[in-house]
Amino acid sequence: MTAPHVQPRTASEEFAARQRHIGQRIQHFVHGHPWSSPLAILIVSVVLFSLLSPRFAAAGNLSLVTQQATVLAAVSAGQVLVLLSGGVDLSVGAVTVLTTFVVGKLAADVGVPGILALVAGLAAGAALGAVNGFLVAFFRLNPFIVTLGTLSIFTALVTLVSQGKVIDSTELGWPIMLTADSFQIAGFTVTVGMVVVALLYVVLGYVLRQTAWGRHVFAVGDDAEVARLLAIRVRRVRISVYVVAGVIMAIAGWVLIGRNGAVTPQTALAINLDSITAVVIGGTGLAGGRGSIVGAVLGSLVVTVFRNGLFLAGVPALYQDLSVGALIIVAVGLDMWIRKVRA
Amino acid sequence: MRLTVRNSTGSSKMLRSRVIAALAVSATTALLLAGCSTGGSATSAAPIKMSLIGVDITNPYFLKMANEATAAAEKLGVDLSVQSDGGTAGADVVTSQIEQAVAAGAKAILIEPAVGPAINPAIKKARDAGVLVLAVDNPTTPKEVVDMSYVTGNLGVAKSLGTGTAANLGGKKAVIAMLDAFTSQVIQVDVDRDQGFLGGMGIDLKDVKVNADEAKTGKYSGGDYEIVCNQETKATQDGGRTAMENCLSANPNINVVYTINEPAAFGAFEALKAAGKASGVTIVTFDGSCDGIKALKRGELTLNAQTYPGKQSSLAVAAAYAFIKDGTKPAPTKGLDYFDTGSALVSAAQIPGVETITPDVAAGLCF
Repeated sequence: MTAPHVQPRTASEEFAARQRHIGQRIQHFVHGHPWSSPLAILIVSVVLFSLLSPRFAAAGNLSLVTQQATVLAAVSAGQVLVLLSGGVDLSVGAVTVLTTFVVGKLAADVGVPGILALVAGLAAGAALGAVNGFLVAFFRLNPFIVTLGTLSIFTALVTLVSQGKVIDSTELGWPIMLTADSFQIAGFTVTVGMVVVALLYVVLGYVLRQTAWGRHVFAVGDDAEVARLLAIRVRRVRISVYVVAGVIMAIAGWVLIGRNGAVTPQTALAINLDSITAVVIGGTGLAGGRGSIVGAVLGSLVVTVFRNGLFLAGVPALYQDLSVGALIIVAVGLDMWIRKVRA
Repeated sequence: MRLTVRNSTGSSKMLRSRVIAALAVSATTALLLAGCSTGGSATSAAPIKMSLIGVDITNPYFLKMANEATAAAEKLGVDLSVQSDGGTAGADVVTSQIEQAVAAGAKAILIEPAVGPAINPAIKKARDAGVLVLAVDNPTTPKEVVDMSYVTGNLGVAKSLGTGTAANLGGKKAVIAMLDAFTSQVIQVDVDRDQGFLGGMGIDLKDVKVNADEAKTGKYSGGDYEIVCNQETKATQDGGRTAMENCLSANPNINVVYTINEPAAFGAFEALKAAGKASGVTIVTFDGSCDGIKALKRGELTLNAQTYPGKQSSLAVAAAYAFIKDGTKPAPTKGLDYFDTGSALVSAAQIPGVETITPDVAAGLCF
C-alpha cells in the first residue's frame, strides 16, 4: 500500500500557516482593530474603580462621568481627523470657545434667531479651521508650530470679543441651550449634548470608512508622496481636514454652552492637550495614517473615568495627575509596539 | 515600505520662496501692528514708561484691572505696557517680564505677585536700578519687598466669607465642598482664599500654607463639619461643574460650597441645578463682578466677596506718577502698612454680626 501523496507546501503557504506566539497574535489583532486596546483599558478601569468605591458604579455617577467626557469626545473627534491626515491641531480649544462667542454675541447682542446664530457658529468654525489649513498646506509650515501660533491668536480674539463677560442662558434662548436638556433611561441621565456627539461620531465614522474623501485622508496621513503619485490632491485634502475639524469644534462649542449654561471665556482651557491625550490613549498614532474614531471617544472616557474613579477611591489629587501621565506613556508605548507588527 | 520621491531643485526652490513669503508677510504685519499701537502718541517728549506685570487678562478680574490702569495712564500721558501671562505662568516667566520692563526703561512697575516669593530677587534688582515697584491685588511675601501695596489681602477677605457662612448656618452641620483652583500646583491666592475661608469658619487649619491638610471631620465655630472634597477647577466654569459633580458623587448632602472664583461658582451651580439642588446650598465666591452680582440676585450664589481691581491699578498708576514727577512717596491707608483698596461682603440677606452690602449697592460698584 503506497502512502497518500501529499502536495508539498510552498514557502508562502508554510509562512502563512506558521505558529504565532500569543504576543504576536495580540499585536496583530490590535493593529487591525485599534479601538480594542482603549476598550480593554476602559473595561479594566471601570471594574477596578467599581471595586475600589461602591459609589463609582452608581448609575448617577456613571452618567456624570459620561457627561464630563462629552465635550472632550467632540473635540477629540476633530483632533483624530487632523492626526489621521498627518497633522495636529493645538488650537482646538480656542476655536471651540471662539465659535461659542460668535453664536452668543449674535444671539444676545445682535438679536439673531438661535438657529441662524448656530449656523453662523458652524461657519465661523469652518473659517477658523481654514486659516489653520491654509497655513499648513500652502506655506508648508509645520502644523505643530502653526496651530501653536493660532492658539495664541484665537485665545486673544476670545478675550477681545468677550471682554471677560459671560453671556447668560437667559440671553441665549432655546435652540442654543438645547444641548443642556436631558432625559432619563433607567436611572441613567442622557443629555441632548451626548446624543449630538454620538450622532457626530456615527456620521464621521461613516465618512471616514465609506467615502473617497475619508480614504484620501488616511492615504495622505500614511504617506503623502505616495498619495500624490496616486493623483490625490494632497493640499486640498489637508485644508479640508482642518476645515471639517473647525466645524466639529463649533459643534463641540454648542455642547459646551449646554454644559456651562452660558457662553463664557473661562472654560475649556486644558482641552487642547487633553484632546491629544484622549486620542493617543484611543489608539490614534501621532505620525498619521492610522487611528480610530471610536478610539477617540474611548480615550476621552478613559481619561475622565480615571480622574473620577481615583477621586472616589480617595487617592490624593497629586497621584491622579501622576496616573494620567503614566497612562499616556503606557498608551504611546503600546502604540509603538503595535506599529512594529510584522507581516 | 515608504517610497520617498525627492524632486530636487524644483520643489526646494518653491519651498524657499514660500518660506520667504511667509516671513515677509509676518514681518510686515508685525511692523504695521506695532506702528498702529504706538502711533497715537502726540507728545514730543518721551512719555514716562510703566509696566503692569503678572496679570492674566483672559480673566475678567485682571482684564478690568488692566483696562482701568491703561485708562488712568492715558489720562496722565503715561506709556503703560501690560504683560499678561496668559494663564498661570511660573515665577520664571514673571521674573523675565520684570527684567524686560527694567531694560525697556520703565520707571515704575505694578506687579501682581500671586506667583509667590520666587520673584523677590527680580523685584529687588528693579528697585536697586531705581524703578518704583508697587504690588497690586496681592501683597508680596514679605510685604516690604515692594515700595507700596495696593491690595485687598485675600486672607482677610476669605475670612469674612468664612465668618459669614458660619453665621448663616446657624449651628447646622456643615458638609463642605472645597473647589480650589489647582491641586496639582501651589498658587498663593489659591492657598490664601481656601485657608482664609476655613479659618473664618473656625476650622483648625493645621498648616495655613497648605490646602487640604485639615481633618476631614471636626468642629467649626457653630457646630460639626465634614469636608467632602478638595477638587481642582482650574478656575474655569466647566472645571467648576466637573468638580462639583465629583463631590456630589462622593456625598450628595453637601450644603456649603467654597469656590475659588466666580467662573468656578457658576459651574458649581449648574451641577447643583442638574442634581436638583438649586436651592438650599450655600455657595460662596470671590470677585464681585457684575455677572457675579447678577447671579447672586438670582439666588444662585449666597455670598460674594467683592474686590476692586480697577481701583487698585488706577490708584497705583496715579501714585507712581506722583512719585516720578515730584518725589511724593506712595502713602498707605491710615494705620496700615499698605493701601487697602477695600472689599465688601455682598449678601442678599442681612447676617447678624457680619457687615454686608446689598446686591444693589454692589451692582453699582462692580466690574
